[in-house]
Amino acid sequence: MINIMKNTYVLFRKNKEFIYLITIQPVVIFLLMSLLLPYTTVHNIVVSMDSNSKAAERIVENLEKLEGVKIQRVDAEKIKEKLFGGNAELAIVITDAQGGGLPNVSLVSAKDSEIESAVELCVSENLSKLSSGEDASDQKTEEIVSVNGVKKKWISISNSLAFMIFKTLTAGNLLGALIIQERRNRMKDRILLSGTKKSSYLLGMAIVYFIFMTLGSILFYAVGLLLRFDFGMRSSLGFLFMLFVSNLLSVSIYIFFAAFLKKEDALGFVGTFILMPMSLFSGVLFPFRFMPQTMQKIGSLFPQRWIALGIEKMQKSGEITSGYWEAFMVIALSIVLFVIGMTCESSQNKKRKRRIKTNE
Amino acid sequence: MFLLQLWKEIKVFFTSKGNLLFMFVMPLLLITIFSYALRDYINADYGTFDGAKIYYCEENAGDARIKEFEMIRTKLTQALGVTFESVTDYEAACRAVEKSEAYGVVRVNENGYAYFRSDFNEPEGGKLVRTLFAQMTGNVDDASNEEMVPQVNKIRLNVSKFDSKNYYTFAGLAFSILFMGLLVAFMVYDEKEFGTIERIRLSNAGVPGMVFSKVFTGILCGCVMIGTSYLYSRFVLKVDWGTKTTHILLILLCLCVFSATFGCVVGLAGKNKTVCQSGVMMFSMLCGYLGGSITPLYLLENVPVLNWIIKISPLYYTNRAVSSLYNGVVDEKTTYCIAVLLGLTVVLSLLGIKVGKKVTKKA
Repeated sequence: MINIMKNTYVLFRKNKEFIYLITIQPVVIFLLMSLLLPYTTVHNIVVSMDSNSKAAERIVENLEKLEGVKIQRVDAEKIKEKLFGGNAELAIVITDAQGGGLPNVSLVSAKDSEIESAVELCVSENLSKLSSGEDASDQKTEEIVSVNGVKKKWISISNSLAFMIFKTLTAGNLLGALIIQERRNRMKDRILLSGTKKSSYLLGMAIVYFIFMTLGSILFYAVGLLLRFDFGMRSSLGFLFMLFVSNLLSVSIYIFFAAFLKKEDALGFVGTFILMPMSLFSGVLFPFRFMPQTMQKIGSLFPQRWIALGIEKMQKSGEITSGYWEAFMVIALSIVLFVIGMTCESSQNKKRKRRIKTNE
Repeated sequence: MFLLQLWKEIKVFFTSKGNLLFMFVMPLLLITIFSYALRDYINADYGTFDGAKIYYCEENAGDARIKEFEMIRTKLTQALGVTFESVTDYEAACRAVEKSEAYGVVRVNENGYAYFRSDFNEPEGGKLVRTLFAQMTGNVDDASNEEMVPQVNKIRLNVSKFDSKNYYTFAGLAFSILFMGLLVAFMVYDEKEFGTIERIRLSNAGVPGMVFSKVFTGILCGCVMIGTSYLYSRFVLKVDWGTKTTHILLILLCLCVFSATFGCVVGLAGKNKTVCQSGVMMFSMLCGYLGGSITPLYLLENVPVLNWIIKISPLYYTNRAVSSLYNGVVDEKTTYCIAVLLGLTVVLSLLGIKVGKKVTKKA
C-alpha cells in the first residue's frame, strides 16, 4: 500500500490541473461566492431628510447607530424607486414642522416590515428625549450602558458555505478519473498482478487524495482566517473539521461512482446531474433557512445539508461537539460508499477476467 | 432567397425536440424554482425577533433605575415581542447567551446597565435590540411631556408589491433569453462543421444571409420564450405585467437581439462545440450572477465595490429597467438599457463581420 501511496502522490503532485483544483480554485470561488451570494438578514432603510435642524440630524445619527439595519441617505424622489425595487423595505422622511419645533417624521413602506415597530420606537424615543431637552447623544448613552467588546469581522462564512461544500464534494473528480483510467489502460491489472491487495490499491489512492484535499481545505480555511471572515463560532476549528469530513465524503463518492462508470467523461455528469441538484436543495444558491418547507425537507435528506447543519449547530451553540451527530452520519455514509465502491470494483475485475478467459 | 433560408432555419429549429424543450421549459423552470425558493427571503420575513429574549438581574439598583428599566422592558415587549427573564446566576445566563438561548444579559445597577452579548454568534435581532435598548436609556419619564412629542406618521405607498414572483418572472426570463444564445451558436457552428458554408458562399444565398437568418431564428425563439413566460406568469403565477407591458416587451426584444448576435459571434469564432458551449454558458452565468438573475439585484447593489462590478452585465440594465417599468415608471433606465443592449449588439455585429470574413476565407 505504501508503494501505491507513493505512486499516487507522484502522479498528483505532477498534475498541474489537480494542484490548481485543490488550492487556487477553492480560494477564488470562496472569495467570489462570498461576494456574489450576499444573503444578509440586515434590513435596508432609506432616509430622506428635508430639514437642516439639529434635531433631525440627531435622529438620523441615532438611526445609523442601530445595528442590524443599514441606513442609506437618499433624495425624496428616490424613495419610491428604492421601495419598489426592493433596495429598501422602509423609508423615513424627515421634514421641518410648520411653525418650528421638532421635525415631522414619517415612515413610508410598500409592504409589511418586521422592523417597522423597532424603527418607530427608536424615532419616538429620540423625539421624546429631544422634546424634554435631553441630550440624545452617544456620549450619554455610553455612560449609562456598557457593552462587552467584540472583534470586528468581515463577511460571514455562511454566505458561501453551501457552495463551498458543493465545490469540496466535486473535488474528488480527478480521483475517480484516475481509477477509471487505470482500469481502462490495464494499469490496475498490472498493479494487482504484482501482489498488491485490491483493498490496498483503492485505500492507498484514497488516503493520498484525502490528504491532498485536506491540505487544500487548510489553505482555504487559512485564507478565511487571514481575511477575518466571520465563522460565527467560538473556535473555527470546528469548521475545518467539517471540511475534512466533506473531503472524506468526496473521496468516497467518486470511488463509488468510478466503480460503476466506464469512461472518465461520465464523471462530469455526477457533478452536474447528481451533486448539483442535491446541493440546490441544500442551499447552494439560496439561503436554506428561507427556503420553503418542502424544499427544506428534501434538502435535509442529502449529506450536503448534514455538513452545513453540523456547522450551523456549532455556530449556534458555540461548541464543536454539537455537530458530532451530523459528522458521524457523513463519515458513516462515506464508509458505506467506499465499501460498496470497493466491492463493485472487485466484482468488475472478476467479470472482466471471466470475459477474457471465455474469449481465450 | 433570404426568406427561403429563413423558412428553412425556422423549420429545422422547430423540429428539434431539444430546442423546443429548451425554449418552452427553461424559462418556466427558472421562474418557478427561483420565485418559489426565495419567496420568504424577498419578502424580508427573516424572523428577526423570533424567540427574542433577554435575561436580566437587578443588583442594588435604585428605584429610579428600576422604574426606567421597567419602562424600557414594557416598550420593547409591546413593540417587538422581546421577553425579559429575571436570573440570579449571571455566569450561567452568559453561557446560555453563548448557546443562542437569549440575545443578552443585562445587569441593572445604580450606575446604569452592563449588557453582555455573545462575541461570536449574536443574531441580527439581538444587535438591533441591544442598540435600541441603549438609545432608550436615560429618557426622563415625564407624562406631561408626551403631548409635546410629535407622532410618527405611517404612510403605505400604493405601488406593486415587490415579491419573488414578480421579480423572478422578469429576471428568470431575461436569464433564459441570454442562454438562448447557445442555440444560435450551435446553429452557426454546425454550418462550419458540416462544411456547408463553402457551398452557401458559392450559391446566390451568400453567407451574410445565412448568418442573419440564424440570428433571426434566435430572436424568434426568444419571442416564443417571452410569450410562454407571459402566459405562465399572467395566468399561473398571477403576475400582472403592469401598464408598461409594451416597454417591457421592447426591452426583452432588445435582449433577444443581443443574445442571438452574441451566440452567432461565438458560433463563428468557436473552434469546437465545447468551446461554443462553455463560452456562452460562462458568459450567461456570469451575467446572470452579476445582473441579479440569481441573487436579487438589490442585494448586489448594497455590497461596496460589487455595486460597480455588476454594471458590466447587460442583465443588470435589463433587470433594473424592467423593475421600474413594472411599477409604471418610464425613466432614463429604460432608455439607458435599450442603448446598452443595442450598442453591444452593434459592437458584436462588427466583430461578427470580421470573424465571418475570416471563416469564409478559410472555407
